[in-house]
Amino acid sequence: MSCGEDHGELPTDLRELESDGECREVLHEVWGYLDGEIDAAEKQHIEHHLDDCAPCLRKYGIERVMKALVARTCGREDTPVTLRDRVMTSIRSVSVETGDGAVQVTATTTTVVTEVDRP
Amino acid sequence: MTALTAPTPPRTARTTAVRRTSALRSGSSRPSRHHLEEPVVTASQTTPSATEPATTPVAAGALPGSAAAARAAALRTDAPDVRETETESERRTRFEQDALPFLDQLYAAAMRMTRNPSDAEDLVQETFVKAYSAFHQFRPGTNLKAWLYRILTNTFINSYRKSQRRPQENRSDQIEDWQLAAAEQHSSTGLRSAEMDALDHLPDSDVKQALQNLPEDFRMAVYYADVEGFSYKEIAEIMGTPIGTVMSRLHRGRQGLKRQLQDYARDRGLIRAGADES
Repeated sequence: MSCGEDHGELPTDLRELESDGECREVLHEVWGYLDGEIDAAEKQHIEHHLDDCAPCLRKYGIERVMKALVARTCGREDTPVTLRDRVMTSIRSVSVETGDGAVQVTATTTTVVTEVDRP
Repeated sequence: MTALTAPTPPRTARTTAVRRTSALRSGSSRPSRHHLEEPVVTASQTTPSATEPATTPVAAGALPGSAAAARAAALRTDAPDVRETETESERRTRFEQDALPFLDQLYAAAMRMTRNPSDAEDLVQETFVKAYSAFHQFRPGTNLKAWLYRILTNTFINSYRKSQRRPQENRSDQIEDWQLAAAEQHSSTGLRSAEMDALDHLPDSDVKQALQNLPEDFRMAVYYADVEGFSYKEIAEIMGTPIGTVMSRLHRGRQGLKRQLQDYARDRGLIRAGADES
């Protein structure tokens, strides 16, 4: 049973980390690094630092795992089989005229109600 | 013989008109059960604001490995704009070829937004109808995926969010317990390596739930970045916010996510509090 608290002592290397400006700077940029939002020079700087700094590498690892976890688990849904037909039907009921700079949209929105036979 | 007076409902699938309010719908059209509505409205009424990216397209090259990027490269060299010559039928075919492949992705995103399959389906349908209606404004070769997501996002905000019964509880202006907790442990040690492994063993449902618990703006920012791989700039355009706001939402969303996942992992006994590193 867990009380949710971390009873461990703050490891020495992490105390050092707190006071190390470079670590702070690198950790600040870790998400930009993971998101591919930093330039090549910053990227190289971070990689160089992570190669040498275990505490930062560990923190980086957790963020990387989290990002991968969300990517793997949250993007998949079983699309209802009827949705594609429903969308196609809707699109085909929309008439868009763009002649003479005037745009006229005629739309019909439909929804398919399926009533299942009861045994 | 039964005493029922109501006519027996048809037992097969049938199509009825939907009552949902749509930007495409003009004023006083009366919903009907058996007749499809055909409101005719002018462009000034129909053009959804979601279509604005057509004038400020996101760089298609930002989509890694996409066919769109390759096509964009080809189009950049003074190729004639297909929109000027195509018939409506050709445009429809082009839309179905280019936009419809995003159906599954948009449905998954719609599920994260609406949190229920029925609303998600309606949202996706409405998104595609709006997108098709404005497709002549979309410049071929630019970022179709981001354009569709922007329409999805705007449609959700305009049509669904206000009808959902959680006006305050999930907005990012409300500080939740886990946010305070996350702030308190700002300088904490974070997870240990063993906990990294533990995170990987969490069931998918826990991760989905944790994302679901985030305030909507944080949730969608994280979703766009981590699942869809959109750049900060693309997310800013999709959500209609400055890049700084995107970064802030991502930062706070991820903090909240981490905190929750830690809790789930502890609750499941995947990590012991105070356990030594392995």
